[in-house]
Amino acid sequence: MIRTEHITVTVPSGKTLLEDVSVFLRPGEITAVIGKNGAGKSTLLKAITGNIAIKTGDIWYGEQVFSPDIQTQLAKVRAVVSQNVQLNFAFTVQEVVNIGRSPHSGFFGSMEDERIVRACLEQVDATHLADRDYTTLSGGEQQRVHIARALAQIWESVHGDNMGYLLLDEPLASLDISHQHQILDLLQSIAKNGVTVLIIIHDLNLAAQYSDQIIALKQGVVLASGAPEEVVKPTTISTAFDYPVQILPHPQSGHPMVIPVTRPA
Amino acid sequence: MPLIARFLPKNRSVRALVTIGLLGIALLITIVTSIGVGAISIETSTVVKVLWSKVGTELAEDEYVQSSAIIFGIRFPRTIMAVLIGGALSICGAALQGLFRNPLADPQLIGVSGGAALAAAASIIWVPTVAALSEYGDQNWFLPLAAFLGGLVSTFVVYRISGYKGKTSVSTMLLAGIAINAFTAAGIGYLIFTADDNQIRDLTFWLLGSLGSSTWETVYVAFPFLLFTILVLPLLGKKMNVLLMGEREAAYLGVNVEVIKRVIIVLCALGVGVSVSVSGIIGFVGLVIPHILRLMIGTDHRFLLPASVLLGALLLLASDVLARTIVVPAELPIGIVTAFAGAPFFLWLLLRNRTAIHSL
Repeated sequence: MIRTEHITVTVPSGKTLLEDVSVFLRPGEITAVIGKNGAGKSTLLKAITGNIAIKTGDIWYGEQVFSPDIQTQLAKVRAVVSQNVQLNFAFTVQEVVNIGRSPHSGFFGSMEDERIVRACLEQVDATHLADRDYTTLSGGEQQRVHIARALAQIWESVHGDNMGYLLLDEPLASLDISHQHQILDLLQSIAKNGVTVLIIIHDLNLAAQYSDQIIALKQGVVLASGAPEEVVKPTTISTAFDYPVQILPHPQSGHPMVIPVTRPA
Repeated sequence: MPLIARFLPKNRSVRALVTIGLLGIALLITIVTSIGVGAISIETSTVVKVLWSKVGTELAEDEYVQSSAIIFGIRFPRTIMAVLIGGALSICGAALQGLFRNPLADPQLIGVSGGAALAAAASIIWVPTVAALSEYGDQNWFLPLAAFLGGLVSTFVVYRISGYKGKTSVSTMLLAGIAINAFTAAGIGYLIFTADDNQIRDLTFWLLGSLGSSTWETVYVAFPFLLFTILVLPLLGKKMNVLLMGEREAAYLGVNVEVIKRVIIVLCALGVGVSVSVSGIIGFVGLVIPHILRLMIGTDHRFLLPASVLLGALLLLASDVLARTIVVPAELPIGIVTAFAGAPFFLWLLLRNRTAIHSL
């Protein structure tokens, strides 16, 4: 469980990036964060992970209030997939995923670590990339490798009783449609094991289909939050994105689907 | 895959360990043979016997008196310095490349050696006793200390300038290095301008980079610092792998980024600074060696760092043999040898990574 209580983030110039944001991420659920570019989605993730300082408010991981001192401890149960990781060295894909094991392993990894790395690569459909040079991969392949790295990091939480947290910033941006659904299926099964999952996502239909809770941000403020059916409504979405939309039910599953309204020419 | 790598085992860890083992053996062989090479050549078997006499069977009183004097008086201390300095420069290059997260960082190019050299030169000129002590023995700690501080300041400056929001820019790093090198060159030029003839001779010889002044006294002073650098840096290998993912990711992976960055900066300033105080600026070792090794065994710093020590030691020792035999009875400054080999290598690297560098 992750909880933020009235957190506010400002930059030195005085601009407020997040204002009085209180969210509640439940274990066993996928929470999707949606909003326009610059709405504060990545800022929220960075605040939760301690990557930027909050001005006021508190962040809770389970029963523990967050402070920079617990970063090392969190590394064993929390994994973060950031946008655009810059890696200029020719690590193999296996080595990159193995770096996810570093909070758990000694100076030299174990056979168990190698087994976990292989299993994680298989889960993101990247087994065939294991020995490739990471720097030669396509954007979508690199994203899957980083998701595998995150899975390797919280393997014990996913496959045990520990609390676990998985936070992803637009992990699907460069993926093709089949890999998008594959990864979201994977995230659902991870959440089912009691992990708290947060995903920043631009595709509203995917958010509505796969998440248990949606948080819509606008200009650093929570515009709406709740179950997909409660948030994905024409007025809320149109306000959040300043763009007129209609909502139709998915022909098979009945999930709300967002259709942009074509403006008269 | 380069030619050498083809003959090594496929599993990367096994390949790395085998390479490290082979490098260790090759280094030992090079040490023994290099001691035999010189104006007076000594049989390898004699070298082994004389060296062994210090730890095992002692020599009879009249045995190998001359060889023993040459070996212990001249060549052995110099060999030790070549091994330590080659190892230190090379591992510091690899560590700085990890710190800056790009493979073009080199102690000389980014100005670490320059800062150390300026500080050391200033201490030679302005502290007269220092020069005297460094030539005639007694343990002189001031020169390496000055060089260490000079190296520390320049490393810190380049790092602060080229790093922004947890990322480092290659072009800014290299440009900052140019600026620092220009400044230190001007500083050293000024010192030469104000120096007397003897000091000028000392300075210029030292600036070109040479192991010629290696005596037991310099070994005593430099040995503990260089050994410390060489032994401690490899322990950071695992954390350096994580750091290569970027500072933000490293923090998420439980690495205390600020602490490890400071440790790397201080250790590199120590290794490079003390090396410069003994031998002047010997360029390109820190650039070339880690690069060759990455092609052979990959980027994993747990293996790359110790392998860099061994190959750096081996190649600098070989270069020194070349430097002191190629123009006998004179001696070529070793910095010239490494620059002749290293500068074209650097150009080749730029050519090879052209697209990658432009996008950074």
